Amino acid sequence: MSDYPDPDEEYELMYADELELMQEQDALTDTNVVAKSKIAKRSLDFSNHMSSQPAPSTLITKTTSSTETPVTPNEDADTETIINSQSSVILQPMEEALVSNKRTADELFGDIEDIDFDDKEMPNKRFKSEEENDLELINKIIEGRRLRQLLVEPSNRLQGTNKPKYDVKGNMSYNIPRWAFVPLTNFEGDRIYIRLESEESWENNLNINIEQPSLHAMYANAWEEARKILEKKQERLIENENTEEVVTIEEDMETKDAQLWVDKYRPQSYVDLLSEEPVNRALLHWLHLWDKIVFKKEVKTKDPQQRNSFVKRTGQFQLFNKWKGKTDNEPELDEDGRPHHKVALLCGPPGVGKTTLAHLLAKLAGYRPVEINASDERSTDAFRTALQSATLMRSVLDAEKRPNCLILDEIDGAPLPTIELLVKWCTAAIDSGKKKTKSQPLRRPIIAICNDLYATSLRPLRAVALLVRVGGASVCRLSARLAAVCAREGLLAAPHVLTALATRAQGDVRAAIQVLSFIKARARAQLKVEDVENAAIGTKDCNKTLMQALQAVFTIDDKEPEAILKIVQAAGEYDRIADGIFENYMAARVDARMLIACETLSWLRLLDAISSWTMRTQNYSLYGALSLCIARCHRVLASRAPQRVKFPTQAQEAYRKKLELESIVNSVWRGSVPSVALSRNSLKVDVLPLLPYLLSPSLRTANVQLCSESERRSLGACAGALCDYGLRYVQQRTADGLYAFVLEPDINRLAFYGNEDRVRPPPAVRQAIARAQQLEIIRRNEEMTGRAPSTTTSDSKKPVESKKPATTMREQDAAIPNHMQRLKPKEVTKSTPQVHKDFFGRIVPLSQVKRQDALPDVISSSSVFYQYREGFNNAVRRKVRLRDLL
Amino acid sequence: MQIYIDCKNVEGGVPEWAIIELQGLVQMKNENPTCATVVGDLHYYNRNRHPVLVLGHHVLNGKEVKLEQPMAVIQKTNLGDEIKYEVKAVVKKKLLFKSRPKPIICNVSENV
Repeated sequence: MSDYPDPDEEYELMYADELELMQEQDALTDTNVVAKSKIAKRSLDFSNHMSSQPAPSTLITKTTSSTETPVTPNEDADTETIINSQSSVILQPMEEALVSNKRTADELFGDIEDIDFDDKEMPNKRFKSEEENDLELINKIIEGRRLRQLLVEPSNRLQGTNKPKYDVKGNMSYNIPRWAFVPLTNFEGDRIYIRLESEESWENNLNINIEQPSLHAMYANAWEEARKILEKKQERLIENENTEEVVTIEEDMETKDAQLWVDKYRPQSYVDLLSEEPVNRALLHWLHLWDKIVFKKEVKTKDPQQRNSFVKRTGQFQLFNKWKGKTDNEPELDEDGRPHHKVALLCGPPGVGKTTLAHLLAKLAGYRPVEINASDERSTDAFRTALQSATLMRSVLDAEKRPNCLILDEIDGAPLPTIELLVKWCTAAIDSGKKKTKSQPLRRPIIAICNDLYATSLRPLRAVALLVRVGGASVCRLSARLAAVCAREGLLAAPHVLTALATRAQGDVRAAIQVLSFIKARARAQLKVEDVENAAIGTKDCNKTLMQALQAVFTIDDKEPEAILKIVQAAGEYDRIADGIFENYMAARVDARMLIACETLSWLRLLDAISSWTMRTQNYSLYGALSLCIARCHRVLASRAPQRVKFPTQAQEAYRKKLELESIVNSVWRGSVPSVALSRNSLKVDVLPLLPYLLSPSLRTANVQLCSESERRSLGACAGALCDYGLRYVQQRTADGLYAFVLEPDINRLAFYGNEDRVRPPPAVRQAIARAQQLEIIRRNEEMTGRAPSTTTSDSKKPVESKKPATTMREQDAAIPNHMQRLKPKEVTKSTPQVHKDFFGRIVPLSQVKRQDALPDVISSSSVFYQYREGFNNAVRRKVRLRDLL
Repeated sequence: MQIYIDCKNVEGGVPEWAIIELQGLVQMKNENPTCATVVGDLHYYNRNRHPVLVLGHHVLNGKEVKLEQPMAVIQKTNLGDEIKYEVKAVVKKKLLFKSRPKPIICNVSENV
């Protein structure tokens, strides 16, 4: 069977070229082999050389590196001194490789100027040497850690011993190894085999780094002691070895320290981003959707089934697949070729890198990011100009002429009109050219960034924007990044310290890096756990909501027992928190004798007293005590059981109700007639609770004509009372289309809290009362205008009690029917003669005035006068016969 | 019956009179005047010859209107058995005052 080679042959076929190469190498020279072994040996030599080399030599290499030429004769000489027997034939390709290697590094990492290539000879060898260095260090650390773990948590931490071993010799080989491998060709043409590890083992290695500081409280003392001992030991060791290195690093640090670390280690490429991959991809995908309209490029839109879409309900990115049947079929592009969402709204806690993400991705997608920040002016006009300049124009100065991508940072601080303008701008469709509108439609991507997605001003924007939630960086990635930063800056930090820092930062990359920077700035070469624990993690934009604060008040936080004060202070609004406590304290912790409730109430009472005193005197010296009162309440009330805290609404509602009822009292008080006027308080206490009974006369029928005398009297009394207190029955249209008589102002609500319909008369009776009241009003008006004052006084003295005269009066009126009554003209009294005064106020004698008047009176005193008849001639013309004249 | 009208009594022809037509009433303050009273003054503006009548405390502006049919003012005298008619005047036009009169304000006091 020549077609199927046996296993040996197969193997030979597979690796034919490798075998050939090996044979060639074997055949070529012995020297090569020697050289090879030399190389391996030299790497060790080199590390020794490095560690034992005095400072001057490294300084020399540094100077050579500063000239920026990749290979210099000086260096050649240097390398030759280091490498004992190295033929120039071999050296030559190595130099080339060095150059090429640098290039690839450039390509890979982007900006690598910070990485000091201070010793240029053989980068791969140097790495090896460094690794060797690290290896020693790691071994020491592992040793120390194992010791500590044995001290602290003997059972739990044994797994720490199986740390990954970065054994170069174990992982790389020139011969075909037994383990799984990936073949690589060296720059020299040699074949190298690198161990291939399964992903699981790799992840296991990574996960070892993550250690939650659990059981911390229990073993705090032992932990502390052990750590001190260990760190002292470690420090001693490290200081012995690395003094020179630290010195050299610090020198070139000084030049770079002008930059903040946060800016310095800003991600330079997509792979550097610490935020979650789906988030990055979603934003980048959205940016690429603009390509069609911005770059006139065809865009591939994914199938809706495969799309990584953002689910509002869960707040996460989910990959929809076909089988779930849940596909959203809305197209990603609208009819204009623009994305469906015109704005991307990034939201997330502070410091997780939202702004960085937006800038980087905009750059990556080929835009020029233009940022409008909270510090810029945000009035509507300024915003409009900024929006126009950013979206309609492009920069001329920029050589590449990239289109703009507007980034609106901290948009939740912008006023509502601004947001509305933005939304209007975004939703404006492209016109088909019929009407030339002033506002051009949006043709550039806009990325808005906010901390609080549910800020009220963002409500209109939320509906139209693509929501992208940026979570905090995961602890493991963040600690890896911190380790990289430490390595570059020459700050020594054990992995567990960095992990602790990352945990403490809670995903806040900025805060974590700033802590590192701060520690470095204090001229410390090593990061310790105390530093991390004492570091105040940056509190920029750290706002707690009212509900968070309330929740914190009612739960015991084991990790940070003292955190309640901070949370309460961050939330502010002490009076509302107090309201929330007051509404929830009965559900939190109850004991039979209500001692807890008493304690809580006493604290709340103190808080109330302080708060009201502060407000009254405008003296804020005791304001700080308010948060302490709330913290004391927390001490009393907090429990481990999950507590469902209700949002405090009752205080607001009660206040609103109080205002409403006050206004009713006020309107009754104002509207009441002087004869029944009382102080507002006595009206409220004495009159209003009883008034509804007076206002509901018991009539058998609604027809007044059929009523008995007593019923009529009570009706009259009711009408009189209505008039006296300025109440009215108003006809109102109800929801079901009927008209109902409603008392206005509604004193029943005031009189009977809750059950307002208690003594309310039936609708027919209400109508009768309304009619009686109208009659009463007319009668009273007449009384006011014409009647003798004596009767009115006697009548309206006590109208409520003595309704008898009123009714008799009405009967008298009834004798003369309404239409027969006439208004009697009022007697015009002769006024006293006017005293004339001249300009200076002197009294002019009457005779003089008379004389002045008499003079032109010739015309007006003539006995004949003329009375003009209006109208047209023909209409008023009258025939006059001569007979009449003669 | 024939009536003879004498129309040669005045040398230089018959005088021409005019009717004054007022849209309104002329009234007296005291109802029964004892003596003849001046009703008003009639003027003519020279410029466009329109009549102005000052009546009581009113000024009336009027215009001349030609009558369609001229009239004669004839005086009848009874001389015993013979009745004699004599033309006193001829009326060919009337002065029509139909506009609203303007009041004359005479007593504008200084201390208004």
